[in-house]
Amino acid sequence: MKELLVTRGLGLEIDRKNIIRDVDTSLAVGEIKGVMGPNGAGKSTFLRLLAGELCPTSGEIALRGEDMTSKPAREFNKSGISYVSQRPGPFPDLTVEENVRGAVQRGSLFSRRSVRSKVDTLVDLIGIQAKLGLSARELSYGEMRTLDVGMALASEPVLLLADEPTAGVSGDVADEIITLLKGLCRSNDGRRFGLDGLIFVEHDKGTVFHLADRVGFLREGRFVVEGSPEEVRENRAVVQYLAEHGVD
Amino acid sequence: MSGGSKRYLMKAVASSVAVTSIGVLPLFLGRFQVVLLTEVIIWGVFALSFNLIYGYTGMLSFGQSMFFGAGAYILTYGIIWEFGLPLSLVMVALGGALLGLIVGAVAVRVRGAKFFLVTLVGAILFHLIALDNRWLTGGDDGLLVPLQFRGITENFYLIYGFGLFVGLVTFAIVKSPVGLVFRMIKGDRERAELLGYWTDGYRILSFAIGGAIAALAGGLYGYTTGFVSADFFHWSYSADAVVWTVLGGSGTIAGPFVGAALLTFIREVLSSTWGVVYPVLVGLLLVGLVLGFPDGVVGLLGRISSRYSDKKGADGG
Amino acid sequence: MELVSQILFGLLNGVTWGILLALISSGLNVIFGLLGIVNVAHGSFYMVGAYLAWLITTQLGSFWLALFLAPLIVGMLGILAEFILKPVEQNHTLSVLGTFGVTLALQGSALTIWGGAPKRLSAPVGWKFSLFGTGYSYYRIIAAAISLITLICLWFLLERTDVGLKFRAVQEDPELSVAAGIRVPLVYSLGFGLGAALAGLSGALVAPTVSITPEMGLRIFAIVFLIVIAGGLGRIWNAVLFAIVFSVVRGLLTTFFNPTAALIATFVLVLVFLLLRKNLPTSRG
Ligand SMILES: Nc1ncnc2c1ncn2[C@@H]1O[C@H](COP(=O)(O)OP(=O)(O)OP(=O)(O)O)[C@@H](O)[C@H]1O
Ligand SMILES: [Mg+2]
Repeated sequence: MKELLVTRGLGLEIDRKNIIRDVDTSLAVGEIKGVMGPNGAGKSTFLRLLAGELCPTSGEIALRGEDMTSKPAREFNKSGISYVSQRPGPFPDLTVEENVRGAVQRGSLFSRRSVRSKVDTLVDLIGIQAKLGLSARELSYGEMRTLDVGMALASEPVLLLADEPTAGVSGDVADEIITLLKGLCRSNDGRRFGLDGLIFVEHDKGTVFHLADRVGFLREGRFVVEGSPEEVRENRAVVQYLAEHGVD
Repeated sequence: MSGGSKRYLMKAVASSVAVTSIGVLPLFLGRFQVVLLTEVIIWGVFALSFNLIYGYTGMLSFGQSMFFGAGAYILTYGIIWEFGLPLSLVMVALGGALLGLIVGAVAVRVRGAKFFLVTLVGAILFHLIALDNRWLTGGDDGLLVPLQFRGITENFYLIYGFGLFVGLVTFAIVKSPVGLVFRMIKGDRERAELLGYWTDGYRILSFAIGGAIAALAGGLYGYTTGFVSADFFHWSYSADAVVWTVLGGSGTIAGPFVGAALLTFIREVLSSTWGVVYPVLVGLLLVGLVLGFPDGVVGLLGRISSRYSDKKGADGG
Repeated sequence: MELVSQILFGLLNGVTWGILLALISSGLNVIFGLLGIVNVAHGSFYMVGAYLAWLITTQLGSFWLALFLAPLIVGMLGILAEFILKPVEQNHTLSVLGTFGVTLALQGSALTIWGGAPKRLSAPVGWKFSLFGTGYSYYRIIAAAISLITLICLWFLLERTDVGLKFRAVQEDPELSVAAGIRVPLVYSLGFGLGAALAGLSGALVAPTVSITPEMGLRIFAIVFLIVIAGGLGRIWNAVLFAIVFSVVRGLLTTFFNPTAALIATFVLVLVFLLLRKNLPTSRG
């Protein structure tokens, strides 16, 4: 099995506090990984490290064997890693169309036609045609999250990182987002915006076990257990956590 | 969609009417008012340079006086060395852009409040350096720009054409893909970086364009008054650009011109008797704007007109 | 011998002026360093303090009374300014603009009331002692001593009582502070007032040694802002150190160059230092 992403001894220390400790993990090509864990476990921080938003204080990150550790954030995106953060991210003062165009245009800044066609494809994919002229601040929370996913796909990434993309989103829209993500990974038949890998953080255990090929349970900055959904479901720490917090 | 394009058309018509009426205004004004109007256009261009950096790219820079002074002196030496006006102006723009690249490359290394500080210190430094190098700048006493006599109206149309040109160029820039990146950086720099943009590069570019425009304003001001001095580098010019832009409306092309016109008008109304309170008034005005109307006069008009058209739309529907 | 005495003189001058500079920057350190409010008007508070010292001394005849009243009045002015700008104080851009408006208003008022011509105040302690053949005013020593005592009191207040803790808490986590029973708006008002009062006090202390003009505020603001940032936000003794280094370097350079060139060189040195210091270690790009 070929590996898409590998981390070795990944760690982050801020003010003498170890937020992420010595994480060794990997993601195979075509794999979907779900990350769960209690509040403050470091799930978001882990994704931000992988996205290049934060720089690790120890360890390394490699994408398809290429070392990414000391590269600036923008290089992560250029190398094919996209990121949906936990907090909604569209630029509030820009219109929806401008948000999409801004995310799309980077690789082909001055070729108007290719930008146009990509914008159209993406807008179709996330189904936001009716709202193109609105400024992003006027969107509902669910629409913002959908737009976030769309913008993350705009650079045609190989790996998508999504931090609780459906938290706080109403059931229907959440299902749409999940279906979209699943479709992108499952039918990677050379279609535009297809993905080679997905790592997502989610509190809802139903979503995690349904969507993921592999699940990691993160606590106090390290993976307590990692494996297939079945394995993880059996683990004592997870059972206990789900008994206390699990919502179904 | 049609509502949007209708508003776009309305904007286009309104701006054309405004620009044309300013163009014919000198036919009805006295000499003194024409001179004043000429200055307002130069100040508008100057404030526009700040607006590109602040209103479109989100960097609160206090450094515009550096480019203003540099532009004035480059033009002066261009005229002294008999390069002619067109070539001198090209040199002014290139010099301003180069200086913008340098200052920008230094300033973008720091973030937040430090950014403001670095540009402020830069402005103070340039003023001190200009004062200290009399051989070059003439210090406080300044230099005369050796000019042939020009009519006041002739000069007005030169500046008017120039202001129009700079306004259109700036409009084209902010509507271009590069302008979109500027606005993304204003919204959230880190997010733009995560979308793959080299934001520091774009910020430096914004500084370079803003530097070129500010230098042109300085050059034209020197060309209009026929005199330049080290005081052209004084930080108060930066302050003026800030106040005009915030009053008129940052993030719009018309805003800086509106702000410059309004404050020049107020200053003239106060005239010499009440002139001393002008700075106090400007300070209080700035406080009031920040608290109540952060998007300025043009933003306010925009909000009023869109509310009005929304209401009309709702009534019709 | 001539050169050595000049250098020693520059050193002494640098240290005394540096301690005064440290006092000015301590006010900004409270407002910007601890409370996180960018206050461009700090230099103007200092300017008002200097004018008040001149006014009170010439009208009421006592400089020492001025030294007591100026910080009180300027402190109240600070509380008023903070009260007006409260809605925007968490937004760096708007608070720069707002406090800059206050700067213009104060500077304009000073210009309107007292005109642009420099005012001078003679030193309240007239004696000088002879140093390497030059007279050195005792007042400068006294002013530096007062500054130092004030700085020690401030350090005690911020590090040995829970006041400093509260200042830090409201900036780092306002919600938690509310939950912990801290009255956040009051802490901001008092902190801002304290910072402004320190500016007023330093303005009054400096008044007899400089020429007082409406414009004296903004340039000192730039210097003080540099010192606070270079020393590390909220660190009083670091700022003291940097203030002394700044003015010693400037003093020494003045013995070799003209004052303007020396100031330029000092600015450039600090700027280079500031730029070479790293930004936050963990954030990229
Ligand atoms: N910049 C920072 N400085 C200091 N501590 C931080 C920083 N960022 C995160 N932390 C701490 O790191 C820990 C992990 O935070 P993180 O946001 O990654 O948790 P999480 O697992 O995503 O939680 P949640 O489920 O609430 O989203 C928390 O204790 C948080 O307080
Ligand atoms: Mg999280």
